[in-house]
Amino acid sequence: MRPGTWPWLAAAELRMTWRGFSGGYFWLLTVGGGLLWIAMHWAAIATMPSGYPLIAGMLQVPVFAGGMMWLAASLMVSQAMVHSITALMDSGRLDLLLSSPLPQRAVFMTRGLEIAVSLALLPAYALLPLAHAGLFTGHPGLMGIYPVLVSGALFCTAAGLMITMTLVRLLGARRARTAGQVLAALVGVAFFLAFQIPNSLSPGAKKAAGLWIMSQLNSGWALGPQSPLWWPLRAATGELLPLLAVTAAGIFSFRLTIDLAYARFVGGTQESFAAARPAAAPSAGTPVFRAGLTRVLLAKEWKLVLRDMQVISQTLVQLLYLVPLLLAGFKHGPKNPYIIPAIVAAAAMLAGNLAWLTVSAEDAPELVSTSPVPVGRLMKVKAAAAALPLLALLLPLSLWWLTRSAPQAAVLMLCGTGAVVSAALIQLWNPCSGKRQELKYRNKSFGGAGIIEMGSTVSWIAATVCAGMYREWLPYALAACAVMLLAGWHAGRGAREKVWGRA
Amino acid sequence: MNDLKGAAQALSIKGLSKNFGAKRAVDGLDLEIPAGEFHALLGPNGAGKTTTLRMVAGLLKNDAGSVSVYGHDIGLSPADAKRAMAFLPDDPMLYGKLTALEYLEFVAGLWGVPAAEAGPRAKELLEWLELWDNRDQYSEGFSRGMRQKLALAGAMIHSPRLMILDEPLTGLDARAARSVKDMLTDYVKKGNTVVLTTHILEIAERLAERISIILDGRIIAAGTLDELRSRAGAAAGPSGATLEDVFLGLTEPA
Repeated sequence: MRPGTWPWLAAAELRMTWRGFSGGYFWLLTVGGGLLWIAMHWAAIATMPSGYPLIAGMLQVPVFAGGMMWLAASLMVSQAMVHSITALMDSGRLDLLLSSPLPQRAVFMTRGLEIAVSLALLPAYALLPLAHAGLFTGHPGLMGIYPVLVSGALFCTAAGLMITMTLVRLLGARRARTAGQVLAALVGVAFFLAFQIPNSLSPGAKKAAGLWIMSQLNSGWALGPQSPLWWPLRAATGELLPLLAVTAAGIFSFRLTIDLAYARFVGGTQESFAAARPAAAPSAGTPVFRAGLTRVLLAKEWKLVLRDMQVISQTLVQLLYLVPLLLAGFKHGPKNPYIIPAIVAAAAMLAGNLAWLTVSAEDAPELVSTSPVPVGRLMKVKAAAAALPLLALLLPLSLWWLTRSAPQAAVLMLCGTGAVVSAALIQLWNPCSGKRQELKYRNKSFGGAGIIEMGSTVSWIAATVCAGMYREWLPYALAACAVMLLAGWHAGRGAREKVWGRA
Repeated sequence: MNDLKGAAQALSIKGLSKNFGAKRAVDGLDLEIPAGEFHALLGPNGAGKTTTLRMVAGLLKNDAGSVSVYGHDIGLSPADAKRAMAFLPDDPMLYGKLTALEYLEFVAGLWGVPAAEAGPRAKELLEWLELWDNRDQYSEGFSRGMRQKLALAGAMIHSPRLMILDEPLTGLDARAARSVKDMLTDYVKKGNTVVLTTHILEIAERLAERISIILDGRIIAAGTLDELRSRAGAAAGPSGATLEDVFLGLTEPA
């Protein structure tokens, strides 16, 4: 491979990425994932009888499989935007690359391909067993999944990059980062929310909309079986014309993005490094500081959370998934049995996130450790900083609920408080050293506080449901809540000793 | 009598040791720094300077030995020891999304400085460090030098009696470096104590009253520049040798 070309750069990046994977957990995941993949092949071959008109049936009503494809695509575009923003701000390696004599186009091409590969990995893992099974069951056309995956990843990468570039052009690098994170969150849940629209319609409107959609699905140009919207699905089953069109669309859109936007990308990158927050009019006179450590610490924690758009956008996504349920709950009032458990779940989830941010994602841990205040005391105030805003929201909500149903208001207040305090305590008792940007990955690490916090939230949801409908089970649910708290305390002994026990 | 003697020392390190796996980073280090002294800790990369300072600041637990700050043992009464001290590492400990004033308010709160004193003091420090016009900006937009100056203001806001600085002039322009040096000199003249590490030997030569040279986790020489010159002897070259000559002579691999 000739040094200085994009394949050479891509190989170097791949090598560096590969070296990042190591450790027993990685190999466990690789072996476990490999075995599961083999099992998925076996299952696909066993459940795909050669005589069954699988493909014809799928193409007659393409809305389900096709809809899933577009849902996956929307999530991939959202991910591509997140990756593009990271690429834009990742000054370390990019500085070196941009200061080298490498053509800037090659740098941009490599970054784009990296994003495309990362987008394609999960869908490839899920779909390739179907493609391979097709070879053994008389559906060789399913090998079309390969080019569709590649072109889909390229197309979504191009879309993500173009949206990010446009934001950079319109808003400047700094604002584009914030706007991009919020937009990525919205794109990620857009399809989910769109599917929930019928639930909020009146029965008449729902029926009319259903009839219109059915007519469109049967024969309409936009949604009918022959619609270009479903061409990716047809391409995946091996139909030649859609396959050529989809492949060409993916490659062409990616190349076009590289050719049109790389200069803007480089400009945006350089600008993002240099960008400083525009100076606000300075406050006049001698500053007036808050008195007391607790007030100062609470103010600091709340400011840091409110000013972090990445945290807000990630939290927004989690809340948006709950919006349909909450809307349905408020619409049907106290009769809806799911509304209070949903509020309790949302409050516990937010409390866990906030407590992780305040307790474990301290930006300047060494400053805190060198101060004369015992770390344990600081941590308690930090956990309180996470719980207090949610308790402050629960109180008026419970009071308002009192006007509708007093018993439900009591359940909401007590179980909500229990869930919030438990989530904050579990994080308080299990401190670790994290970074704010790692918030969304915090629960992906099995073991430790993540899984116990999840167990605690589920227990409080169960307690909320039992308090409303199955009173005889309530003591067991509350016992489970207590067990989870004890487990959280027990699991964090080592971490507390390590973090709180510093001199 | 012992307590009185201990209190006269701003920093007293006895038999301090720290291992990282099989590597002995600090090896039975002894160091006494009296109150009111400007002390420089010099040594080649990996000699154990930063590890020693991190143990003094309470960021690392020692495997053996003791550290006391104005008579307060960092392991036994950490709050008293830390209250008298400020630690400024080479990478400033800041919050990108806090403004300069908010940062100082937080640090003052941590050290329990009354709000009525902390506000005017913050103004004074920011004006002196030429950051007053940037007081309402987030520090994430600051240059390296501005970040270093803000961290220094944070270290000064609680008026510590002992300041421990790890490469404090890194990233500062000539003007800012000069004002920091002047500030540290004034600070010592008022009876306070400074311990700093630096790779810029000229700074140690000009500012420090006493210098300790650390190698392989041990103090191999300590004293005034003249004492070090005579100790280095022929290895350092003729009389009147610079600190660089002395340093290279003492730390030259055998």
